[in-house]
Amino acid sequence: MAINLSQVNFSYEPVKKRKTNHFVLKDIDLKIEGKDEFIAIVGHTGSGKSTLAQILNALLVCNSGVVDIFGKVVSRKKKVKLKNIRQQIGLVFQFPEYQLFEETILKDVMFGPKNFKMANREELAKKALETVGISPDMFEESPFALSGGQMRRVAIAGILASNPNVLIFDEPTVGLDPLGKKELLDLLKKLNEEEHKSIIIITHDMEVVSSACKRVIVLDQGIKVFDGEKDELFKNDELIKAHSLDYPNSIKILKEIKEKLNIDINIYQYTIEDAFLELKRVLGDSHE
Amino acid sequence: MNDKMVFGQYYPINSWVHRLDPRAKLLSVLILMISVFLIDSIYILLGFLGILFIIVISTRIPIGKFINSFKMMSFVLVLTFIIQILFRKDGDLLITFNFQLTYFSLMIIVVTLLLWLLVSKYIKYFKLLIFLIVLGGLMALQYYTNIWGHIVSYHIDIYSRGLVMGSYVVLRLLGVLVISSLLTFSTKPTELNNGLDRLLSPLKKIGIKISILSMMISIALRFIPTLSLEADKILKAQASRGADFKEGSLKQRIGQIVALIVPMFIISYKRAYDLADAMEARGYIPDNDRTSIYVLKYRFSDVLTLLFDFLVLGLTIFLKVAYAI
Amino acid sequence: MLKYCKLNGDYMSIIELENVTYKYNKKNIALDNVSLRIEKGQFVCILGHNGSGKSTLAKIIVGLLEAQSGKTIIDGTVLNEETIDKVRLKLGIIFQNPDNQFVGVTVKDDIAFGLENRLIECEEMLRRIDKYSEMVNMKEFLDKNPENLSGGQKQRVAIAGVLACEPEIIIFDEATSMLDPKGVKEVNEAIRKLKGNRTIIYITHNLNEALDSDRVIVMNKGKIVLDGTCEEVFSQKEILKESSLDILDHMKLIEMIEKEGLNRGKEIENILWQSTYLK
Repeated sequence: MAINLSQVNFSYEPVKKRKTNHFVLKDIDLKIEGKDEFIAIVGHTGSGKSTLAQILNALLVCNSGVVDIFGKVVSRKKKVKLKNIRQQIGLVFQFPEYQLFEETILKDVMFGPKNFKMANREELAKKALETVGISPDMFEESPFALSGGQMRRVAIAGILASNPNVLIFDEPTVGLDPLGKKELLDLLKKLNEEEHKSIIIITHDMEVVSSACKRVIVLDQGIKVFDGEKDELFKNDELIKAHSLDYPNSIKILKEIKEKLNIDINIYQYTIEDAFLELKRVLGDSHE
Repeated sequence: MNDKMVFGQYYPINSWVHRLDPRAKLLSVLILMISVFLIDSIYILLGFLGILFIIVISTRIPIGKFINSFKMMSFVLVLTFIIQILFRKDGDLLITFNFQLTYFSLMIIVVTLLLWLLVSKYIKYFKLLIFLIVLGGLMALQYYTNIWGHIVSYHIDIYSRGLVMGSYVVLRLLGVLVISSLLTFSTKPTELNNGLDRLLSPLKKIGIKISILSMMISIALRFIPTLSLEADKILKAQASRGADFKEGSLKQRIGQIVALIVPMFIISYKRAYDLADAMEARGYIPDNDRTSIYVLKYRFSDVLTLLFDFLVLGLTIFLKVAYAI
Repeated sequence: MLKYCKLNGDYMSIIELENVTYKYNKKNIALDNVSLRIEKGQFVCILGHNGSGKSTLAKIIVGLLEAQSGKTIIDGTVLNEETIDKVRLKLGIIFQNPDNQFVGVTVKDDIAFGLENRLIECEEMLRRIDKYSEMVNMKEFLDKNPENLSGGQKQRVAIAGVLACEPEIIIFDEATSMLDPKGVKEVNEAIRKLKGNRTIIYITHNLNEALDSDRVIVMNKGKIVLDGTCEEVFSQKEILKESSLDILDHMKLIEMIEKEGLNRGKEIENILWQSTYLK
């Protein structure tokens, strides 16, 4: 088990005994594998999802509970090398393009491996840039001359270069147009399928959840209210309603067709292609 | 968490001082500060501080807040007092202390100071006071004991002028601190800015455009919390790339700071650019006249306050002249 | 290629662009010889991917950028350096980033900003702030600082700030693209209330948000490639795809049914069309 949280509480205010604190995270239990996971953490603004991401990266330390990351326990009392944790768990913030600062793209991507004192920095950086689709003739250019979408990909390469096993993305698709969004999700799928990285996406976009993720964690006001397969989530209408979540488009469409045509179809399809195949399976070809 | 990020020391209650017109408050601060420096009698100064104390109590701002804001300055206060006492050599000689430095007392002094260095970071409250007591103890040791190898004798003379001047400096600084804290505790930075803008607006006649300056201050006040949140985010983003702003050699640390400063510069620039567009689109033209949503009106209480201030100033001038004669 | 809107004719155009070209530099042409008329009181949606020139178009209309060639006419006045200050009184724009257009230290200050620039007296200002903050449901937040507001709330304040100046034309330049679903909903609800009274230009890359507009314009590479009603534009799947826009999921399914055939396919197509337009 790569990440193991148990009974984690977190508050931004200093904890005082007399005062009751406002906890952003309450009694969170969570287990995440070091490879092949594709998780979405969903919840509304203020649900604590960004805080949870920072706990997983040891940028924030919990007030109580146990945070065990790759066998190292992060706590306020005992000092552990946080750097090693951060190398194994990469966190890509919202609008990561703002963290670029070096003169050339290659140098910027090498910043991580350099800090983690890794041996073959340049190779790692080049490989990461290749993965995100930046061609080698651009390596020596300034990162500030790139377009918005390219800058975001370079910034992601900056995290990938340290070769983490787990990658956390905080709202990665915000501000991107449909094409940029699709490209980014394809990249994440590639990292997950080909390099077996565990991907965690923090999002409120149900299309992202339905088209890419396998497992969903729902947070509401700091409490984990759901953790399981996405099928299980979308079949639980009460839960969806209680936490005012939305259904992905494909399910919405099939639901409507099912009601109006009064046919028996499995509405839990996550792409339009699958939705069509399901319709075809039940209704049959028009040629018949 | 954001609630705590309010800039400045403003203490949000609704006291009579809070309700005063910011212009009246700014003028009061000016007049009262002049008065503090004009007074040259310890007793009147004490009386003046007494009146300030009554005003502070009447606002119901917790005294603890004031004491907190003095913490930073307390070291300066004590230091100026000690310097005055040690170096003023006029007036009557009040008392002479004779000290003997011996190997015994030297050893104890060194050990105590080392101990202080180790222990001081665990002392949370009244650090300065405890240090002064320790220092007094060490001086008393040299005053009373003369054993184990005499090294040198020295003496400290305390003169009346030194004592008086020391007290003056400390009391005046204290007065200035109380007056300025009262202003910042009771007035929001924006109100201050508005008041200053309105007070100085006559300067427009001689070609100094105060309105642009006050717009700049107002925008700075608006964006300081936003940018500090942004800096925190960049700091974390670079930390997750392994940057360590606390460890490493000086050269490494400078390298790490570049990773913070360059993005901050770019973000600020982009924000400034966007903001300029937004302001222009909403019809802002730098030199033009504008109306203001804050119409400042002097009320009876403001007039009363200003009358009181002038009374205090007149009285101090009168006393000064009367004393001089 | 360029198809003018059918609603043309009796209506009076409030915005007219004639052969407008804008280049950021030699290589980067943001607007390429664009001509466009927008009628008074219409709700027009401009669709395009990032870099299609749609935001440049907005900045040209409000006079933040000056076109290298071509003419911009707002309500009968040609836009140039002398007329800009006057013309701007008729225009209001809401930008993408909620933080970067919040000028005031409090909500009240921010709504007042445009009014102060227009030399409006204090009492009138307070009246308008009261009216328009209520309209966008932000009345109880008047004394709050921007740090304590969500993105959606900040955008609604920006809308109130523009509305308070009572402009004839309001442009929303990707005003919801940085918000969470709740924020998007809140802001779009506020915008919907404005329909019919003023000329509104709504710029977005999200086809869903274009659904209830009177007219949809699609931009790609600095040119207008589609112009018409929702139905007309959304049925042009090929051009939408070329413009790097994601076609609606409804449309994707319709396309598949048409291509591959399906029993009761016609019924399903009808359902899909209805669910798109009868919202």
